[in-house]
Amino acid sequence: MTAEYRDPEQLTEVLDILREFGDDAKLIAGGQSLMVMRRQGLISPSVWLDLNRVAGLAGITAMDGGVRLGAMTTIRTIERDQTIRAMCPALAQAAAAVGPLQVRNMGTIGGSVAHNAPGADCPPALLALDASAMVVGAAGARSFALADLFTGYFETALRPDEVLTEFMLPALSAGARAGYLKFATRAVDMALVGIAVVLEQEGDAIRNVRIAIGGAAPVPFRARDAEAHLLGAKWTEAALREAGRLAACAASPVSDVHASADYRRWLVRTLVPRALASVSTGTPAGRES
Amino acid sequence: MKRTIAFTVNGKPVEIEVEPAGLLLDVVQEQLGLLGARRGCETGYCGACTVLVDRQAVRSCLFLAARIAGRQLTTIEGLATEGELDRVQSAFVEHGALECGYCIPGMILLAESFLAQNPHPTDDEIRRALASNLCRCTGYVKMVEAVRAASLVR
Repeated sequence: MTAEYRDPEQLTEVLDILREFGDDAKLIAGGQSLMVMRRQGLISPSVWLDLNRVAGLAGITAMDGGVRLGAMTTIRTIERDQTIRAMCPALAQAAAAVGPLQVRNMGTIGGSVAHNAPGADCPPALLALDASAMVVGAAGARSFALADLFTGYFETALRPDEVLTEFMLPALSAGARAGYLKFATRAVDMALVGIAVVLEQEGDAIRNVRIAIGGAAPVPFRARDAEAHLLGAKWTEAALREAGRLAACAASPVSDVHASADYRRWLVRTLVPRALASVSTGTPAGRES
Repeated sequence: MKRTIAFTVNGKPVEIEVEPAGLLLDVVQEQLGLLGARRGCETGYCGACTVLVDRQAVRSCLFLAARIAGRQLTTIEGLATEGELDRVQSAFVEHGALECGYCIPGMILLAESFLAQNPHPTDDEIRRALASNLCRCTGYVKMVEAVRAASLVR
């Protein structure tokens, strides 16, 4: 059976088509994961609903108190954008760390979040940056804290009639630093583990810290125990090590062809202190190109 | 249902009927007869099928055919001007940056896209960019040299 293909120009048409076809329609953004899944026979929707011509879904706007990021903005645009690099460096670093150049050229931030593949680089960065997501559907618009959007392995809270339209990234407080550290076997692989950090220090005290981890659980998660241990603590190697241990305890990774669960847990334990240290010294942790 | 779409191929306007949910790679090879875009893994891993869409490197095995409507498609066949190889192609020849040759159209188009956005790259950036595609002869060293040389051509 040949699938139908629709590429509307207005969001209202998208919602109409989703209402008509429900689960039989599949939204496609950059397509860099979906086309692979189609090839592997894992998905075969009756309608491909292409978001690329829909007006108003892409773009980066600096606003009072933060950045508005359209869901159809490409990873490559985010990687290179001066506003993102200045205001959300952890996200720029995560975008630069995403696989091959061709995937960054086509792949979108909304697609990455809605797909929710473990090992995706941008979702933990968004989580550490305290992003919220706007979702529009038949019943109107809903706003989510990013953590509430991720519900399970490749699953989100998005309903079949809903579209992710944009993210809001609150500005970092003055003096806060942020970064993303990725570990993968080859440069273009997905992360075995990716760590995004937002850190605010005063002298050698830690005033604020957010640690978000990808690849080490069914969904990206905040390492709350590690954060609590560091908050208000002195910046010592022992404190960082303990944060790594606590973060590893909170991880619930799977074993797959790329790495065992134990290895991923060790990566979390090793990389959390390393990510904190590199953000603290202002060394870009991710990859650039 | 087939759909008629218009776009440009290596600078020339075309109008063809495509299976909209088909893949650009099939259109390029079977309908346009351009065989430089290679069929490799077909799962977005190897980059052998790389083409340029609006000057950006794209994996044609992961790109729905209908999305090319209104855009500029460039394949390896469109880089030379009146028989003169362009700077990246020339650099690959001069540096012997090819072994079996299967990955080379994809590698060259990848380099074109990369250099268009990053005209003065470091070696590290070149290596990271070329890591996007696979060369199973593992002839990467000379490719890095070729891309560096191409970046220095005025």
